[in-house]
Amino acid sequence: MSRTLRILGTLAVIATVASCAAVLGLKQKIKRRPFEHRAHVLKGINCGTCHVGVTKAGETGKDHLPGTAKCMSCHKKPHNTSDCRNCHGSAFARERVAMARKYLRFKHSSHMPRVKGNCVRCHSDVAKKSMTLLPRMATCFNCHPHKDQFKVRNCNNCHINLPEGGMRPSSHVVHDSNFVRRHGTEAAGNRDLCSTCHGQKFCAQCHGVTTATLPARMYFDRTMKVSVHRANFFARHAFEARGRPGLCSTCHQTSFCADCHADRGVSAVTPFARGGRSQHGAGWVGLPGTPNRHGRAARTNPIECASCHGGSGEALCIGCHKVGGIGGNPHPPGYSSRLRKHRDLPCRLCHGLVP
Amino acid sequence: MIRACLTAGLALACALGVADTARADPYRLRGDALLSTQPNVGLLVLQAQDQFRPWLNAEAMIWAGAGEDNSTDALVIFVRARDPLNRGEIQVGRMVLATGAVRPVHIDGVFVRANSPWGTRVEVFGGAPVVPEFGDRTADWLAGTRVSHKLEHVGTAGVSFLYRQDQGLRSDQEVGLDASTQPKKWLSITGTAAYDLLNPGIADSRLTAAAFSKKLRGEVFAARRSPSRLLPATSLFSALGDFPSDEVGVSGRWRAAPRLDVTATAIARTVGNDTGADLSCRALLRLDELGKGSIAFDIRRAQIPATEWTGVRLTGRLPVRKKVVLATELELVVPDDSGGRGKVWPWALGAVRYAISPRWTAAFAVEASASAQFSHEVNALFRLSSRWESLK
Repeated sequence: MSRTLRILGTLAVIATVASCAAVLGLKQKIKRRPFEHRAHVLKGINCGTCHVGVTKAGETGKDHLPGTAKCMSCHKKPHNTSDCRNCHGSAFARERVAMARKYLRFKHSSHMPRVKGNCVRCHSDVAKKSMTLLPRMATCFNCHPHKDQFKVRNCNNCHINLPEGGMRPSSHVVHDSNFVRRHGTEAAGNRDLCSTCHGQKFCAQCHGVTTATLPARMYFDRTMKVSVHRANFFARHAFEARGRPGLCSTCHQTSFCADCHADRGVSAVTPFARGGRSQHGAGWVGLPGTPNRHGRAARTNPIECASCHGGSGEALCIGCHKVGGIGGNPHPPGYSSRLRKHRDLPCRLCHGLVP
Repeated sequence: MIRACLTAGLALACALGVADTARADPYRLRGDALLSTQPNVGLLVLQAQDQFRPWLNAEAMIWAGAGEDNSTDALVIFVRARDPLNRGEIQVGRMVLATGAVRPVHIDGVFVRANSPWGTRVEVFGGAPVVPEFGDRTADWLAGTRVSHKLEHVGTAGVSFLYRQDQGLRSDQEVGLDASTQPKKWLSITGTAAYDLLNPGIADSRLTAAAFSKKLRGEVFAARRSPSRLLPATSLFSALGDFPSDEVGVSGRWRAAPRLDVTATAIARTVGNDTGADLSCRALLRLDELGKGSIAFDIRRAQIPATEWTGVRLTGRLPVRKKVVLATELELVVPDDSGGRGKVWPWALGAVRYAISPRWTAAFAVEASASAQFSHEVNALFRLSSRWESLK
């Protein structure tokens, strides 16, 4: 390999690594640098000099962040002509301020007299070159314990529309990794904690019996939203159901499957004359001693059987498996049930109804 | 349907009427209209949420127009009153209840909770199971309870019970145990177990232990599920006995770079006498510091006998202008044995969302797919949303 090729190859690798670093956020295109608050304070510049009017700010209105014009009132000769905020102060911090303006009830005007004009009493991170300068919630609690509101999970005194405000919990209920898998276990003992952010309609969109359409279908443009039924779930639902027996029935009634299968002609209750067809191949059902796969399949995933043969379709099983029938006893060894043999369903179907 | 409309209308009228006298309280209304070409349906969803007083709130979600008969139904519609000192609450209406380890239920009924000062909590609920479109449910009812105790800095443990009757016959009777603890700041352990009392045995049990830091999160989990015990006891298939489905797995999330998260899950599972694995990996790359634009790539391999398949998915969201967001989702499923219904099942969606105003949003999408059910399918979706809030 010639020296030129080696040099070109090395340059290509460096360029690739550099671009990857930028994409991954390892190397910022614009250096993320916290604003030099400390340097300004040491120069004796009062916060209100740059954040004009913030001391009288109410719950709504502009965010009081200084622009280039304000900087140039002191820095007469800037080192370039671009917006100062491109390099000084992070976009993230500004976005947090905008979010706070929108989703928090807070008045600087009522707080300033209490802290006697000392902004650092709350904005203590100014000296630490922190990326975000919003006081932590714990800082608020120094003066406002909000014990009563916490007790009743009433966040609306300070937070506006908590779920949309992007204020997510930082404790063990943080919704990262595969939260969908474990949300039921987490919610089991923390119902009221979940309801701090999630209304009933949030649960009902998936767990509701009368759900018209799933969130993944309704909000089709939110493609990053994690959901069990994303994309072409319809195509792979049989795989998902077979691979995790019983999981579907934690939300769906068996009638949910049976109704849809009947409509599509893949149900025991759909006559062949109306297009009904069997999903089972040869060797599925046979006399004792012949290939007979259905019994094992039914014990492995009875819910799959019920999705087509549930309700009136059960008659097909009873024909052979009733007491004295050629199908024999369908119960496993050691089977016990608290149901009454001659009174309750499904026992009486095979054992007979005794008045 | 008429009953559903009347109930929904009455509740909304009450909500709007009361809210009018409390203008300073949070008040949200949202309407979404969805049009789809395949199946050829239109759907209107109305949501209302209000907090009239700190101790009283209401929620409703009603949809109309889906299906062949243009039916209307309520998903959620209830009023909740809470004691200002959190000694209890009462909730009346249509609601979903996930109370302890027993299965979630969707009921028309009442939920009551009482808290004691020393950490014991009692929850009781009862009513009629929801049937779509207010269908017939003669002699159907259910009732349940949960008693739990919370120890500060230790955790919570609870016992729950559910009883359900279907057409006058016992269909579900189960008792559940749930517990959660966080012994260390970085460690959380939660578990639930439901025991079927009609066909005695564990119906569903899950245990998860998670350890986490800023960059890493690791989980170990196990579950046992007995499919026949999850069926109503009135079903013939609940009397067959079953092979419980067991699974153990590990899952991890690694913040590989400031904008890159990688999540991987490996599960070993037994179904009957068969043992298999379910492996998945997801990488999420945020395209900007705030994560407004992002790309995710998923790959999954399910290796359970008779259900072996491999799938990949690519999802993306890209704000192109302040008001326009482009989104896409592509999925490719390759079944090991498709039964002669296509070797590959592709699915693709392209969507665009436009914020007409702070209140109005429109979204349009085209999706195309080929699968075992359809050799090819093209579908168009359109949604118009309006949101109105009075939050100050």
